[in-house]
Amino acid sequence: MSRQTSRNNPLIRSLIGTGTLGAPLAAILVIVVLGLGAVGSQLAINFLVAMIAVAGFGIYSGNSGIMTFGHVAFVGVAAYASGLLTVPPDIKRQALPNLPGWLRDTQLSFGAAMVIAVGVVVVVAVLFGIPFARLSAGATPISTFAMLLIVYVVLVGAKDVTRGSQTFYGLPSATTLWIGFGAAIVAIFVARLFRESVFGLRLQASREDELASRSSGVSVARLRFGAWVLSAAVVAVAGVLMGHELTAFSPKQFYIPLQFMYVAMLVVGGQATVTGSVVGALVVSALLEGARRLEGFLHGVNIFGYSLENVFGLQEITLGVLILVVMFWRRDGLFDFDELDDRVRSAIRRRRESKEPPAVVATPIAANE
Amino acid sequence: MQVFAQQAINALSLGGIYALLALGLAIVFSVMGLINFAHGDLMTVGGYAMWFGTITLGMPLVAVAVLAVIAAIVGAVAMERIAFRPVRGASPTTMLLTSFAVSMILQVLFQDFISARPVGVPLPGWLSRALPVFGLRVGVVQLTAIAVVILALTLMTLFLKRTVLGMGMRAAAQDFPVARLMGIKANRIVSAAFAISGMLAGLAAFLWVAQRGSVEPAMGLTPVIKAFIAAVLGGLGSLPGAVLGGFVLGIVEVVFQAVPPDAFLPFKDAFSLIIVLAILLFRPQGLLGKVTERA
Repeated sequence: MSRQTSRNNPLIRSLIGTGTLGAPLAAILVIVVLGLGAVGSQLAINFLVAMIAVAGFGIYSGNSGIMTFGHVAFVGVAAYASGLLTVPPDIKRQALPNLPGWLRDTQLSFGAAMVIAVGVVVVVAVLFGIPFARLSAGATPISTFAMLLIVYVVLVGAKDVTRGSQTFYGLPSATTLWIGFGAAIVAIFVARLFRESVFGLRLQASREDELASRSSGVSVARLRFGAWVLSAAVVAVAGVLMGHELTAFSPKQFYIPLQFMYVAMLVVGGQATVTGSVVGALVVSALLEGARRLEGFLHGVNIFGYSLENVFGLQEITLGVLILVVMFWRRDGLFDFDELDDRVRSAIRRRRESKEPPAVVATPIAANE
Repeated sequence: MQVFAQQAINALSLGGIYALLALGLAIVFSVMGLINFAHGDLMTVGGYAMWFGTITLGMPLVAVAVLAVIAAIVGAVAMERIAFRPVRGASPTTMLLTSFAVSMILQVLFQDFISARPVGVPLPGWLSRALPVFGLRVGVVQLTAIAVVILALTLMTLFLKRTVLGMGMRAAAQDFPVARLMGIKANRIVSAAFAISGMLAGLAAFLWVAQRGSVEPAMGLTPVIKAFIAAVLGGLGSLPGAVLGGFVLGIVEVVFQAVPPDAFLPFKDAFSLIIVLAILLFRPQGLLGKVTERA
């Protein structure tokens, strides 16, 4: 009996789910790092940062079923906020001569900067979330695009604080593989816990049938707002990590191409599951790396006297075709409904059923009540 | 007063372009529930057709405009056949993502097969001249834009209200399954909706390029995002709403360009979008949208 209660406890389910995902993830990272050396650990960090962002993105889009195009704005705001707090005052004096004195002389540790940067993003998310929560599900995706445009314009326009479209530099390189992996595990756990929680379940109900869930007393607008803010906070962590991995960046790195990559990762893996976010990030990262190497390989190759000097955009084409393939043939992604641990559990159950006489089959059904 | 009148003309011509784009988006959205992200790339197709028409074929201006419209119509109908028919009837998210992917692929193709840099479209000099109208000096481009927009919107209204196909489209916009039960052919309606949205995008491309004189792979992106916002502002799915939203956005943008001090100029796009979001905060269904309770 106690085993059954623990199986339905969201906290325990989330812990099991995080472990089931974390173990193979760690194994893959070890293989990549040992196999490819320094390049491998760079790839691994890139992948982990993207995975955290996609897991955060999925907290909103996956549970509510509303696609958004604005989460990259949170990545950008977090990276700049954390940068402003960690870049040494000497560099700031040189790079940002018009910065207010108090901000110029502030230099915080990586951890403190992360907390404040996440706080800044939460404020931004609340401000935009208030109108978004009231919009219809159809109008929200477009409006989040407006948010991306607004944040981009502000990052480019606020030259005194961000150096405008010029490169913002001088961040300490603090994102290690260990920090990335630890944050990824926390992100998976948070996303999973939200999905299993009563709030997540109600939001998923509104995804399946908004009208029916509203008439059952689900406060859809409030839940969407909450999921939006939580998802922004997780994405902000990815933004801080990304800033301290790149150490120098400009606003256009936090614009449509990056958002496109996150969207591809989310839909390829499956929006509705946390496993989907992780698997999607893994698959898309691998494909993009392949496309990048192919681009380098094709550079300067002669085909019928036509020199392939500039093979631009093989990565974008890969993403585009990948999204089309998924949309045409597997709309809900690779992990459409069941998480990895759900699949493992049902596989085990099926094996047990095939071995034992059919009379025992009733046990799991009865136990669920 | 004079400054005001000048700015009003600017607002009308800019808002008119947004209105054309937003109307095209709204027609497709109301018929099949697709938020067509690749609408802006139809505009880019029209722009490249103008470039091809002037540089390679040496066509006169009117022929170039017609070419732009035809190219955008062909592009729109082809897009529907190739990319959107397989996902017809799918969830709005599926269709939205499909159009997003189509847009990204098209932009890379423009980049690789035409040019990653802007290409110039040489237009006759009289287009950039200003004419005296009632004591004001008004640019020929602005006047053309206003005239084209008025003509296009009038014809669209007549088409939608008076012709069988137009009435069928309005019926399909209200309730597609019931419209089909009344004998309206789904494929014809959807193809017609795309053709019309292509035509409007082609006209918008002509007016847009006539003011800027160049085309680049991502040209359509910013205007189409704004047209989307305009459609949401007017009430997503409402055709008059889309037109109204386009003009309102045009007016707001021109006000933010003209009124605040220069220091705010880099932020003008942000300000106008914030105003739109603020309006939506108080009227989430849009200016002319209705609150529907359809699951």
